This record gives sequence, C-alpha cells and structure tokens, in this order.
Amino acid sequence: MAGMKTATGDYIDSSWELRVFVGEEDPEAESVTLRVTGESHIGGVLLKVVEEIKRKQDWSDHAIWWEQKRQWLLQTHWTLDKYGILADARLFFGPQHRPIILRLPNRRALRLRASFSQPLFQAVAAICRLLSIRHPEELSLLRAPEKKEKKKKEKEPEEELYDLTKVVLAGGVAPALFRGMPAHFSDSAQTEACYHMLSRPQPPPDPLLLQRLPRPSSLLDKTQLHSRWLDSSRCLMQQGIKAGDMLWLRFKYYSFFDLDPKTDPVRLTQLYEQARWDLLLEETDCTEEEMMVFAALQYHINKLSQSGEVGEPTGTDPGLDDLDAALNNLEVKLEGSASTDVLDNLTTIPELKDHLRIFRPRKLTLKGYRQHWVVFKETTLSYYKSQDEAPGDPIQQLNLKGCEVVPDVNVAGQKFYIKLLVPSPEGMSEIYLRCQDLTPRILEAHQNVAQLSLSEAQLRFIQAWQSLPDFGISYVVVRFKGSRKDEILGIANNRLIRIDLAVGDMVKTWRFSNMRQWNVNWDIRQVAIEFDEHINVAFSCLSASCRIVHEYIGGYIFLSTRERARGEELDEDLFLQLTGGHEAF
Amino acid sequence: MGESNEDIDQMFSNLLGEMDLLTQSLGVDTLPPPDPKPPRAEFNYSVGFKDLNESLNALEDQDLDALMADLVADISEAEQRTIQAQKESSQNQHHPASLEVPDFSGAAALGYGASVAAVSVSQYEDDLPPPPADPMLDVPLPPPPPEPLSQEEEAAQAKADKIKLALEKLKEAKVKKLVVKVHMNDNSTKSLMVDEKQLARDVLDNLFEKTHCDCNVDWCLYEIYTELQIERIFEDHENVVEVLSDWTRDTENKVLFLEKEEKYAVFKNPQNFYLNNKGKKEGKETNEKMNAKNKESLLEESFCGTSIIVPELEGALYLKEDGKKSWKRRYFLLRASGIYYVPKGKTKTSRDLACFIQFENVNIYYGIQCKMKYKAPTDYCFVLKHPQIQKESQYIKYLCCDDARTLNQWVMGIRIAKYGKTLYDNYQRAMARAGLASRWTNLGTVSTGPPAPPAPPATGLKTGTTQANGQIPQAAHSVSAVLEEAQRHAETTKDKKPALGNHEPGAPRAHQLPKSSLPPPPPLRRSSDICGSPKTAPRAKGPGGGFPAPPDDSLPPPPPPPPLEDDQLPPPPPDFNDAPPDFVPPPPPSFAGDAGSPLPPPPPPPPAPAPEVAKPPPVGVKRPPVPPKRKENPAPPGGGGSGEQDFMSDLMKALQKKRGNIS
Repeated sequence: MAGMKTATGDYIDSSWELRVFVGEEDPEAESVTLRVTGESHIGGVLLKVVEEIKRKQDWSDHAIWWEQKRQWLLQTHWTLDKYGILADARLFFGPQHRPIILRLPNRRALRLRASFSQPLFQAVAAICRLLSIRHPEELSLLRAPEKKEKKKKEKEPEEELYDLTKVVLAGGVAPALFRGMPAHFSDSAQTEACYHMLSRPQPPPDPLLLQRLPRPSSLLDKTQLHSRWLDSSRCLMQQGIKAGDMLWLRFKYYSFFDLDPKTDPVRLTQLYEQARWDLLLEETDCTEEEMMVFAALQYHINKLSQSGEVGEPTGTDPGLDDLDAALNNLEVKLEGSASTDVLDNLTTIPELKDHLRIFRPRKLTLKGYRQHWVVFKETTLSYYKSQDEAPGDPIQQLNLKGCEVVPDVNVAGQKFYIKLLVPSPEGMSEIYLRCQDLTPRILEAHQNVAQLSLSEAQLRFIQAWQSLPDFGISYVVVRFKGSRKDEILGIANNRLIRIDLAVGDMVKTWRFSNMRQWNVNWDIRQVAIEFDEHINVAFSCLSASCRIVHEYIGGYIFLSTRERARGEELDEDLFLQLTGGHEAF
Repeated sequence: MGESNEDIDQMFSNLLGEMDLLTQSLGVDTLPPPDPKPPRAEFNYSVGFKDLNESLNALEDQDLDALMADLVADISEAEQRTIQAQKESSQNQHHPASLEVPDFSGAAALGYGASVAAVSVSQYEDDLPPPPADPMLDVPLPPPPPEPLSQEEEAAQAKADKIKLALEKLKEAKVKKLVVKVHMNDNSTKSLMVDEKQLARDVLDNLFEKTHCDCNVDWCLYEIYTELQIERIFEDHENVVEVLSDWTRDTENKVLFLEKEEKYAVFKNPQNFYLNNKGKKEGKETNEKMNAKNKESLLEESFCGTSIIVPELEGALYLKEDGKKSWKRRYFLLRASGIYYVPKGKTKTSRDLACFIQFENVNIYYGIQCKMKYKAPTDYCFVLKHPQIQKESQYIKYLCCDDARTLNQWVMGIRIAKYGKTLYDNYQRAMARAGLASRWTNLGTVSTGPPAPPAPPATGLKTGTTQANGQIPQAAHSVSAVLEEAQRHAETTKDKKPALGNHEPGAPRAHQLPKSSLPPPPPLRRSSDICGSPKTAPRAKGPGGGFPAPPDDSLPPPPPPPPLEDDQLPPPPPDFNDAPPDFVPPPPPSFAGDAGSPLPPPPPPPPAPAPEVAKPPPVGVKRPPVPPKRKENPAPPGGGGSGEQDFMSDLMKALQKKRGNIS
C-alpha cells in the first residue's frame, strides 16, 4: 500500500476509520471504531466489530444496517467500495430478527420475532410458519392505524399479550405435530395457550364494545385500510418499522387456496375471524337473511368452541336423516340436553312436547293465539286441547315434511314466534307457534347448522362470506385518465371494477384473464393496463400508493398461477417479479 | 350399559332381519327356485293373510325361528361389511374382536360372502329343529365375553354402528318403486320402473339404453305440470321417485325425455352468464365468443373455488302480484342466498334489499304461455314454487323477463345458486356418459345390439328386473281378479324371459294392460305405482288427511322390497342374470297386487286407484285399523305414525313374547 501525503503533510494509506454503532438505531447506542479500507469485505468488518465489542454472545443473527441508504449490508463478500460506503456512513450492527406485536385477524395481540432484513414476503412466510398457517402468500402486514390522542384518557383494559419470541423454529422443515399441535407450541403452557388462541374461535365481542368501533359509512371509508399495506418486496426496516411496533396480520388476497379443515386449523380459524369481523364491522355488506345465517353459524361455532367440542362431528343420525333437518334440529334444541346415550340417540325417535300458543290465520278469524299441548314427533306435529288428551285424538295433525320454518323473532319486543308454512298440493298453510325465549336456538335450528362440527361450521361461514357479492373487493380511490372526478377502483381476485364513488354502482369490470400487461409510472403515480382487444385503461392512485395497487394486481395474478400439484412450494421470485416493480429509490 | 342395551341391540337386529324376511316372503315367495328360503314356512304364513299383523300373529314359534334364522344370515352379511369397514378404518385391534362376537351367527356368519342365500338355507334348516335356543338368542350376550374389553365405549360404538346398519337396512327394506310413463319426443311413451333410490341420472342412463340416442349432455328428464303450465328440467342428481311423489294422484303432469340445450348451457358458454358485464350497454353484444381455454378457466374460477360463484344478475322484472292478474315491475337482484328486490325509495345496497325468496324450499320452472294464462307482459316467465304445491296458489311466484336471454340467465343463475357445485358435478358426469356413449358407438358395439354387451345397462338391470319378477307371483295369489290377470301377464313374461332380447318391446306393453284396465284415469301415475310400497298405510291415511301425496314419504311402509336384496346380494339367482332391462315393466302389475295384499285391513279392493282413495276413510282417518287379534298391543300410540309403526311394534312384541317364553 503506497503511502501518500496529504496537503498537510500527514502520511496516510488508503485506510480510514469506520464507526459502527452497536444495537438498534439509537443515537446513544454504543459504538466501535474500526480501521478499514475500501477493499475490506463486509464479512471482515463484522468480525472486527465483534472482536471490538469483547462480549460473548451469539452474534449470528446480527448484521449491519446502513441508515442513510436504508439498506442492510448482507452480502458479506462485498467490499465497502462495492457498497459505496465511506466514513460518513451511519452503520448499525444489530439483530436481523426483532420483536414485533402482531394484531391477528382474531384481534388478539401476539409478540414474536420477525425478520427485519428479508423482504416482507419472506418475513411473512416465516411468521406464518411459526403460527402454522399454510399459504402465507395470501397474507401480509399492515401498519396499525394511528391512535387518536384524545382517547388516551379512556384506559383500555389491559389485554393479554401472547408471546412467542422465545420460540425457535428449525428452518425449512415443516413443524411436526405433537400432542395435537405443532411441536413448537407444546413446549410450555404459555405457548400451548397461544396455540389455542390461534386455532380456536374467540367468543363473540361484547356488543357494547362492538358498537363503539368505527365502521365505514361509505366506500371512501373502505379505502382507508388499503393505504396501510406494507410493501412485500422490501424489509420491515426499510419501511420504518421499529422493534416493538404493532402490525396487523391479515389475509390480503381473497383467494384461498386449498382450504382444508383438517390441516389448517389456525388458517381456518383466523380466516373465519377475519370474515366475522369484516361482517361485524360492515366492511362487507349483507342482507338481513344472510346475517341470520352468519349469526346462526357464529352462535354454533361459539358454542362448540366454548364446550371444547373441537373434534370432528358426531355424524348425522342416519335414522333420521330423511327428516326435515331444520325441524329435526329445532326439535333437538328445544328438547335440550336429551339423553347422551348413543343408542338412545340412534334408536329413539325424539319427541318434543310443550305448551305452545298456536295461531292459524284464516279469513274472518278473530281468534288470537290459543294455548295447546303440542307434540312433535318425527315429522308430525299434533296438537291437543290439553295435555290430558294427548294420547287421544289430536285436534289436528300436520305433516311438516318439506315445510318452511321461519323464525319471527324480535328480542326487544319479547316476541318469539315460529312461523310454519306447511306445503300441500293446494299451497301453503300458515301456522304460528309462540315460544319462550329461544332466540339463539331458533336461529341455529333455522339455519340448519346444529350438526356441523367446528371446522365445518367455520368453513360454512367462510363460504357464505365468499358468496356475498361484495366479498373480497379492496377499494382504492383513483382518477381515471381523461376523467375529471375521483372514482373507486375495486380490486377482486379475478377482476378490476370501476365504481362510481358517489352512488356505489359498478360501472365497468375488467377481468385479469383478459389482461395483456400493466405498467406503473412511478413518477406520476399512474397505473396503465392493457387488456385484450386493445382496451387500455390508465388511472392514478389517490388513496393509496400506486405500489399497493400494483402489488394487488401482481399478487392476484401470481395467486392464479398456483397449482395443486406444486403443493405449498412458492415461486417467490415470480411473486417479487410480479409485485416488485422498479420503483426508484 | 347393561342388558338393556344388549336387548335393544338384539331386538333391533331381530327386527331388521324380520323385516327383510317378511318382505321377502310377502313379495318373493314365488321367486325363482334358487332362492333358498324355506318354502314351507313362507307359504304357510304369507299367502292367505290379509294383513301383516294378522300374519304375524299367526306365526308360531317355529315360524319365528325361521324368521330369525333368515335374519341371521342377512344381518351377518351386513355386519361383515361393517366390520370390514371398521377394520379398514384401522381401529385398534381389540375392536374387531369385540365386534365379531356380537355377530349373531358368530363364525358362520362371517363366512357368508357371496353365497348368502345358500348358506342361509342350510343354516336355517339346521337351526329349525330346536326352536327356542337358536343362534340369535345366544349370540347377543357375547359382547363382553371373549375379552372383557374394558373398552365399553368401543363396544358402545360398535353397537351403534350395528344399529346404524340396521336402520339402513330397514330403510332399504322400504324401497318404493314407481312405474313411470315417460313421453318421448316422437310422441311415443315408454314405461320405466323407477325405484326410490334412482336419480334422474340413472333414469337417463336407462333411457339411453332403450332409445339408442346419442347420449349427449342435453338429454334430460323434463317435468311438465299441464295444469299449472309450468315445466322444468330434472336435475341429474334429483331423486325421481321423490319428485313424483309430490304429484297428486289425479295429476296430469308428465315426464318427458328430450333434449334441452338450456340444461347445461352455462358450462358450454359460461361467458354468457358470467361475463354479462353490468354496463348495460355492453350487454348487448350477445353470445360473445370465447375460446375453450378461457371457458375452462372461467368455469374453474366459478365452480371450483372454496365456494362457487353465482352469476351477478340484476335488473327489472315483472312480478305477478299474489293472487291477482296484475304485474308489477320491480328491480331484482340475484344473490347466492336468494332473490332480492329493491324496495321503493331504497337503494341497491345490501342492507336495504328485501328478500323476495330463498331457494331452499322452492324449485324453478319455466312458465308456459303466461301471457295468455296470466296476462303476463311477455312469455318469458319463470316460476318459483314449493315442489309439493300442485294447484294454483298465492304461494307460487311468477316472474316475467323482457326477453329470452334474460330469462335463461335468471333460470340458470337460480339453478346455480340453488344447486351449487352439484350442478357442475352433474355436468361432468353427463359429459363422461356422453363420451362413453360415443366411444361405444364408434366401436360399433353397443347401441345396436340386443346381445347387450357388458356395458352400461348394469344398473338398470339390477334394480328393475329381478325384483319385479319376484314379486309378481305372490301378489297375484293374494289379490283378486284384476291382479291375477296382471300376474298372468307377468308370469308369461317371466317365462319368456330367458328368451327375450334385451329390448323386447313386448314386455312393457303387456304390463300396461293390466293397469289400463284399472278403473281410474290417472294416466301417468297409477295409484298402484304409488303404492308400490307394500305399505298400506298411505292409502288409509291419504284420504283422511286430504293430502293424497304425503303419506308416501314420511310413513315408511314396510315394504316388501325384494329389490334391496338384489342390490346387496351378489348376483341375483342365475336365471336373472339374463334378464334384460326391458324386463322391468313386468313388475308394475305385481305391484298393484303387492300393495293390496300386505295391506293391513281390507285387502284393497282390486281396482284400487284414485276414486277409491277419496272415500276409503271408513277405516279410520289417520289410524290404520288395529289388527283384530292383536289386542295385547294397545293400539300403537302414534296415531300419526301409522301403519309402519304398528307393524314394527307388532314385530317386536312377537319377538319379545317369544323371547319371554324361552327364558
């Protein structure tokens, strides 16, 4: 190394001092100073840093973060020159995995260590592996919404924080099952509890609390959420996330591949939870009839989950399966806990008896409800003047097979009716039964869900959610090229939808399957898409960065390339290629 | 679970066995020689008795023993199956052991396999001598013995399984059959025997065999309500008997066999239903072309996901107002959960929508000539109604579209919402079937020949033929003139049988004759068909309740169905193997007979059908008459339960009585 003289006469070689802070970004962090040259490899630098620190510790997870460039120096064989690092670089020698708090789809909080150095896509995959969620490509992280200062006065109840920071997963290998859960959860009572939290549905939220939660009053409100998605191709550190920050884990792409109740308890449960909250907070609208279905399922799911009946279904009763299932359920429910004897269940025909008030609307009838002794057996409903006369001839007997059961319930009004529409060749005859407080049971019976196992019920819930017309649409405010007003772009798993912002009408739909290519002009934040038959669409993104829109489109296209044959193997490069873009930094 | 369970257990098995046997004896005794059944016993009790109860009462211990012996054979076979299933499901090893024990006939039972019939005979004979202590009784005890399996639960489970099985068997024993007259598109008709288990798909396959049509996916069974002027396509997965059971006795409804391109239109051109862009202006480019690959991916997307996608469909339709002839225009939307409309002054948002109808309890029909009949604005109408409704009613909903395309979209959309993935599965089966057919024709083998290659007909054959023949004779014996005539027909046909080619047209006709001679009119649905189930109850009840149809389904009449057995028993007796599908027809007449004979009280007057139905009530409206002799059983309670229950409880009583004697 030939010596050189500076103007001041100092001899210098090409070496210079490099200061490296130890720890996370913190102005007061301790630091070490090394003598390096432009030719020094990063690996050598790391070694020197560790030597200087003179502390025994496992440093294997540590790496150097270059603050100004917002970049990790992970290529250990690269030289400082190649990275372009000079003496003024602010470097931090810190762990690549740091704790964060995840707000899960079920709204519970969980602490774990996430990679701050890998692209988010990989970090999420690792998180999902830890949580035992397959197909991590469907999930991503969102920044937590900023809390309004005002509300700090109201002390929120201390919430339970689950902790998985100490759990280490052997890399690459799918966790084996142990005691009915992935082995890494079975280490301690805490982790076990955590697994239960993950894999079992939470009880329904307190209605009062629910009422206070904000819900979107317009399409515009629904666009807010989507401005918060993190970028899949960059790491957490690059996106300004700090250790201890809270992030939301959510299913981002509404295209759920190979959902299997048997192998996916956590995935299924979290998806169910996301669906449930989506409906409760009215992010996705549904009709009253549909809400009844959801309510019934939620009730049923909660019941099973509370009672610990997590296992698989008891199976339907073969002897009764040709009965009208709804009535059957109603019957079982009303009967309450009947004998638990398997044999009894199989062989006895359940019979339901009670005093009920009955009303049969007829023309010119002034009579109201009349109390009767009602016996319901198999598919026949018979009613008598009184209980004493029960063995004798009933006043009337109705075969309820194929009849419609319509619960007519108004809790506030203390009204609990069951309307029966009994079919006959001439039409339907209506009968009203007035009951006690049976709301949930009616709901459950009505929706025919009583026989479902926990996972079946969750799956049914998810399916019903997926069947809603507004399901799985992510909204962004955009301005179409050539248009003078803001509009909404809806992004679904198979199409883009142009929506009138004011009215909410769908104006136009473009399917991904007809898409030729799309481009992003990062400078003017514009996305341009070309469809078959030379249809061109361009818009600029207003409510979210165009990178989010770009990633949504690329992500859905990526997801549509998945094939059953490949199983869970992921073509990460393809994903990053489709979603990464060339944004200039 | 002490003795009581075992008791129940046993009783059930007994019962079930007896059911089978009884039905056999009632319906089958003339069965071909191969039938091992101890002829003696059967003749003794089955023939002359007017009703089951009576015959039961008359059973002597000996007979009972015979019943049981038979039962044993039957059950053991069934159980063997369960055991196997359980083994497969890899239960622990104790399990099979414990199971075997309870098997009534023990080791012997296991050996049965295919030769059930034969085995049962011998066993039967062996057992006969010592009436009381026959296998059955001893066996039930075993459950615990061999190894005192502490696994009570398992034992219970095993028991439960057995009972399930028993229940299944019971159910099978009730197989109901109808003779269905199907109108072909050349105005001819074909009569088919359709049993309770057959789906429209099976019936179509059967018809394919008979008609040598090209088997393409458009062929369908088509239901026409002449009076209501509505019609619809049977979905391939629908149970035909169940659908027809909703028809009234005097119905003029018809079943057709024809091609309807609407049937699977969505799978051929999904874009017409799924890409109907909402921008109404663009919607006008009708029938856009789409390449096969895109169609496939569109279908995959719509039908193969976690949940299917219902086409987005909305627009103004005319709704016929309840009970009036006026039509009101409303904005309707189709959702997976039903049809909704936008109430006056409201918006299209989900929360504001009012539910017009949900699909669970209704079928969708095309309305025919509604313009004329109901003053509809156009003739493009569809109708939603509960399948049981057969007359005009305010509960039938009529909707009217502006054009044919819209109509087809709505009808298809509703079918997709109602049936979901099943529709796609049906289509794929139909495709497979069509493919198979074309392959066959290419080979030149099938469609032509009477030689009836090994091919497809299989199902049809099995169900139809054998039983039919079996039943015929007996029925004839027990009933009156008409029936006898029928029987004669049947027998003749039967005799000829071996000689007949597969497609012998003569046979079916012959059968029809007896029927037509029956007084009442019902063209399609003979009452006798309906009563195919031996069960009497339906009759008695039907009239009383004023609901003619219902009785059939819920009250499971103890059917005599030899059919079941055929399914289960390996290959039917040798003779039958040859029996061609066409043979099916013979049965009808027999049925009429059957229905009559086993019936409890008054042997149904020969010319049973409709007219009678209306009046018979004398007997007692809802309750089947209590068998005279049987006073010990205070008329089985379930007034409603009716015939079957009575019969069952009688069986039980008989058994109990017997058991009592023994012990």
